[in-house]
Amino acid sequence: MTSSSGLLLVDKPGAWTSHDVVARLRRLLNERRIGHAGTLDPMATGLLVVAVGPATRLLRFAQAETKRYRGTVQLGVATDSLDADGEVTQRVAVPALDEHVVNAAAATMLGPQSQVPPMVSALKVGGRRLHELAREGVEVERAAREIVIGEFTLTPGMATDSWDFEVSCSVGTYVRVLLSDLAVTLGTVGHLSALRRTASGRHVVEDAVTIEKLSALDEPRRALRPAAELLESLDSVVLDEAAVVAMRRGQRVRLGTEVAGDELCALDGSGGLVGVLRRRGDTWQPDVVLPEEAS
Amino acid sequence: MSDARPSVAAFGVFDGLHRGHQSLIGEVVRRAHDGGALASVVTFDPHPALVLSPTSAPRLIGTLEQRIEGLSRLGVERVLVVTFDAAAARESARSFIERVLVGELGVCDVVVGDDVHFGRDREGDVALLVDEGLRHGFRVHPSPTYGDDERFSSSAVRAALAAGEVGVAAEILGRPFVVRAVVERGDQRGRELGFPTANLRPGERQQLPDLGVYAGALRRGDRWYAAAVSLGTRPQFYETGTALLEAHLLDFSGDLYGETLDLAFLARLRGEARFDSVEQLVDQMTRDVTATREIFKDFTPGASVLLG
Repeated sequence: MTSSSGLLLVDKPGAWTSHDVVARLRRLLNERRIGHAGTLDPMATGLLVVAVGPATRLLRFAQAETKRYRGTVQLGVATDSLDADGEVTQRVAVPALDEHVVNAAAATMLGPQSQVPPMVSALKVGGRRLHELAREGVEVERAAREIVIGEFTLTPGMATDSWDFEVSCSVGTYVRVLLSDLAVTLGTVGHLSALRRTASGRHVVEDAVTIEKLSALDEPRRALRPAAELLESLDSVVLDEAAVVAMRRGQRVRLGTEVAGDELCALDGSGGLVGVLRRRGDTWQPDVVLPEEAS
Repeated sequence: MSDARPSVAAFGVFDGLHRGHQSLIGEVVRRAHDGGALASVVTFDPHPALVLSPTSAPRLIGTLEQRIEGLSRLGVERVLVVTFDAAAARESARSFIERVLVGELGVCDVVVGDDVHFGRDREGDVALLVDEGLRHGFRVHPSPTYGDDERFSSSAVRAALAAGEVGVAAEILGRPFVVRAVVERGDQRGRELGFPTANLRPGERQQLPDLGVYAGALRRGDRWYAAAVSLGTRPQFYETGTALLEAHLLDFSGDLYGETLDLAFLARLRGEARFDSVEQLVDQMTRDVTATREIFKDFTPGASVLLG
């Protein structure tokens, strides 16, 4: 029997929303329970991690800490959404730049920092854009959040004043904000003109399937990967038979060994996924239990 | 954008801005006004349930922009939108208080429903807020009007809508239920029957009333027009559950294509039906239009500050 629970690595096409991908997969796999981790904007392409069937209940643990992107920034032109889907708000001259200067500026943006997520361009209040409303005394803003930029390098792009970049960053980072900030650091403005997610945690886009390829498969469910891959950020523990039975019944279990962290990926003796355990004092409470055949 | 005044704040999803929310926000605005403070609201986007249980998350009564617009109409001066993702879901209640309420807003007063739960594992409650308030120097005002009363809840609004009871929904909301949607090019079928309609596409996760025909009102600019509204399925194009929303405007002709408009549901007229002949269908639609006109006479948008 083909497994009906697991994850799919999809290479999202441009112009599709992440939800469009989910809607298409629901039809392709004839499965309603499908969800995705880490939304990609319509403009972006690349790796979208999708959970299918009972494995969707593991999605909230699946946020990989680190993501990698490749893309292009267009300097000299600002848009209200900070990407190519927005309306142009400003054109500013671009100073003479070389690779050394640009990468030196990028290097100053490495490390932990707080970032204010962008307000979406489409967000209008009473038909007026938010910044217009702000002038009338109502402030609407996004709360800042803590992010970490690991690597950030740039090379000259194809178009005039465009630069290709590679970045690795923590979950929750808005790449378009990072690039817009870089443009300001370089003495101009800019927007994200292309974006592709190349990796999410251990998953890489090279392992992802396109929607076309998936549609052409006789049995698209064969492309499913084990649900346990969604839990790679958690430590795992192998339970003895009695504990597996107890956990499947929703009962708390005790572990012989000392473990760090508050959440654990629980496996049975043959390495099959049982679910997720959450620490409750000295014992561990089943948080998610997967159906036996799905693991 | 920063204001030196300390904030009187409330925080929550506030989907639908129903009467419970309105009373809570009212208290924020009143206290801010009395104390020379800034009336602030922290809200979350997307809906936390989308992150915590993506496959069983509720549909939304209103869009984020409707929510922000409504908050500003209620007198809120500063809206802080917290992006709710997996990292936010893992944030402890104390960290949320310290980072957002104290760090970003500099709160002097926090108004909350007395049954509030927030932060990782819903660990935060009134007691924890009071405790942190003593440490950071803000007062906590538990408000009994919100949450205790079963009627004033967003889920009750959704349930009423799903049952087609738009009157019950309006009772909880303190105004008719309004969908914000974009007008799309349709298949022009209504035009041939003598009832041109605007095809409305609501947001992806919008909660809609039960399928059927409704008396409604559609706002364009500052004016509301009577509208006979049909919500029906198009199973040949979409997965089950996706409905086609059409509004026939009674005293308006012109092109609405591409506009974003508000559609108020005033009363349910009937369920979806199939007709044996085009004549029967046209007869029924004529009766629907007459009924809509009657119901629209009693529609007073000025009665709620949220409709205007």
